[in-house]
Amino acid sequence: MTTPRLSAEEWLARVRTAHAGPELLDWITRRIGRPYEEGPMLDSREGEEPDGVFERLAIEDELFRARLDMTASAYFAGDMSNPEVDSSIPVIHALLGLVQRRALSGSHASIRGWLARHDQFLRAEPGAYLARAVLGALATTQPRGIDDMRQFWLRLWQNGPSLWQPRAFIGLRLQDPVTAANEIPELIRRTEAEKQDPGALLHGLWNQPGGKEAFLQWLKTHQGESAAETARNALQKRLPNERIPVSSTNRRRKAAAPLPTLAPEQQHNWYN
Amino acid sequence: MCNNQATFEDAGSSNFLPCVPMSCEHPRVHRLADLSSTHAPRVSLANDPKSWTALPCPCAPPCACVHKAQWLAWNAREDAWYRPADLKRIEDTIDLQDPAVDGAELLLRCAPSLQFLRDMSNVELAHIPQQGANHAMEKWLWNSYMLAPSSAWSDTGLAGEINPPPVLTKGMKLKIKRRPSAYPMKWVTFATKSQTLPSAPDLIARQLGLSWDKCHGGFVRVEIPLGQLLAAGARFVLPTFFDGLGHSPRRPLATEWRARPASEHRADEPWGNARDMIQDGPALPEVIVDITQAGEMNAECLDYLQADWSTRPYLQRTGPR
Repeated sequence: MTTPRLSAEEWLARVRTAHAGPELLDWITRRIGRPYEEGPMLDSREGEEPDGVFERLAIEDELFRARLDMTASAYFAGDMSNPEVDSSIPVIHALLGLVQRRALSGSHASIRGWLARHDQFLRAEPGAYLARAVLGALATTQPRGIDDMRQFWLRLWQNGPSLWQPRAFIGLRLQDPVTAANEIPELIRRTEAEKQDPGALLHGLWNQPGGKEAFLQWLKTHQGESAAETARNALQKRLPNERIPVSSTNRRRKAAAPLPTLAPEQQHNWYN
Repeated sequence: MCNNQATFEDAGSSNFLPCVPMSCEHPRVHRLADLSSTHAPRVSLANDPKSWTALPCPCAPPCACVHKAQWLAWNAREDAWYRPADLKRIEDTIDLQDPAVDGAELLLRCAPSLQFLRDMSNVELAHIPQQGANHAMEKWLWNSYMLAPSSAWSDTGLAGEINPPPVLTKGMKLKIKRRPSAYPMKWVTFATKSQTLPSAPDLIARQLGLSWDKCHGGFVRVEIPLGQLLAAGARFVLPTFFDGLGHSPRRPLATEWRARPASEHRADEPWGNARDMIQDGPALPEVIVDITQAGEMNAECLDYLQADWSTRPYLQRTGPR
């Protein structure tokens, strides 16, 4: 005997009041696994994904957001979030996306632990689908000004798989824009090697709080270097309405015109 | 299944594709025209954009109430949908105002009390082609697609950042691929008078006013007139524009977009505006929907997302509340 389908309102009411942990996780898992049978109708015209309904609830209700945070935290701390099990991948990805978009910072520690536990699997993952999602979740939920996090991102930026590096740069700039700005030469080098545009990641740095100042300061201290010029040009292309100062001190200064002499044009015998 | 997908009217006569509500699980909605006969005429005077010129904010210190009121006016002009409770709130608020005041000024006075009724839904936005194409960029693209690994360096920022940069800028070229999902991409099924139409993709194409060809095997060819879209104000033309139309549990079909073969190119076509598609090379002006499983696709941002916030504040997600 099949359970009659709940109306959208009824389903939402139950999810809103679901307890954090297994109960809410059960609703999430069912929604992700059977989006056409479970929960409100997906609105295809807005390209809605199955997890969108939980995001909306978290926006509307601060308490639901907290319960979602606790649920995600428990999920990534437990054994159910095994990325090697195919059926769990959509749920893992959906929860990582929710954590990233809603900045559910209570889940940060357990997600970082999850990344450490599954590091080997994730590094071998083609396309870095889950890896990019987990780095995105860590980037928006991290506490700022933590040296351990700065080192974490730097390690990934320097030694992580190449597909992880863009997200590692984003995480680093969100943690510490000054440190990220100091990595711009490496960013330029890598994007040139990959025949990619560095402007996208630099644009992110420019837009974030403190990022513009960090970029301009770096530009100032590296005036004349080719990396600075490349970075400035790449960013300028994306900011047509802004004027990024040109690093120009390396250019040879035009010799100043000699001051007009005060001497008389003709020799003058002062003693006569 | 939501039967409120749409009954599209001919797109050629208007820039709008109104949706005729049938039965669905979305909250029932009304228009501002459905305000009571005593309230509606007082509000409708605000439909004239000229009535908004030089209206100062009456608050001290100045707040965003002009914006909020304009938002209401925009919705009045564009026939947005309201829930009954929203209409009741508007009527109650109007009743508290000076009976001699109407139009834009009335809405302006109401705005601080009404604050923000609700964000204009993406469903409503999707009925406006020129906004729909822009909107496709913002919403459909990243809901349905993700950057392909080869475009990982184009990752500007993250949804969830305090101040994420715009993902796309003019001329930017990306490789995108469908987000792996627990469910397959499916086509919309139109239902009219309880009869489900099996030829949904063709029907959609026809009702959008697009030229189309019969199904050949596993795909239907739909030509997207890029020039017309751009002329209508569309800034982005991406695969998402079409395949975002819907799913159907019965037809597990996905879309793949590609350029029309060069051998079928017509002499009067405006070359040079189209995207570089998968198989057929760059610069073909129209694209074809191919209902096969999509792989990695090219996408190019043709222009910036441009919105006049002063007249369309509903687009501003962090707008009046």
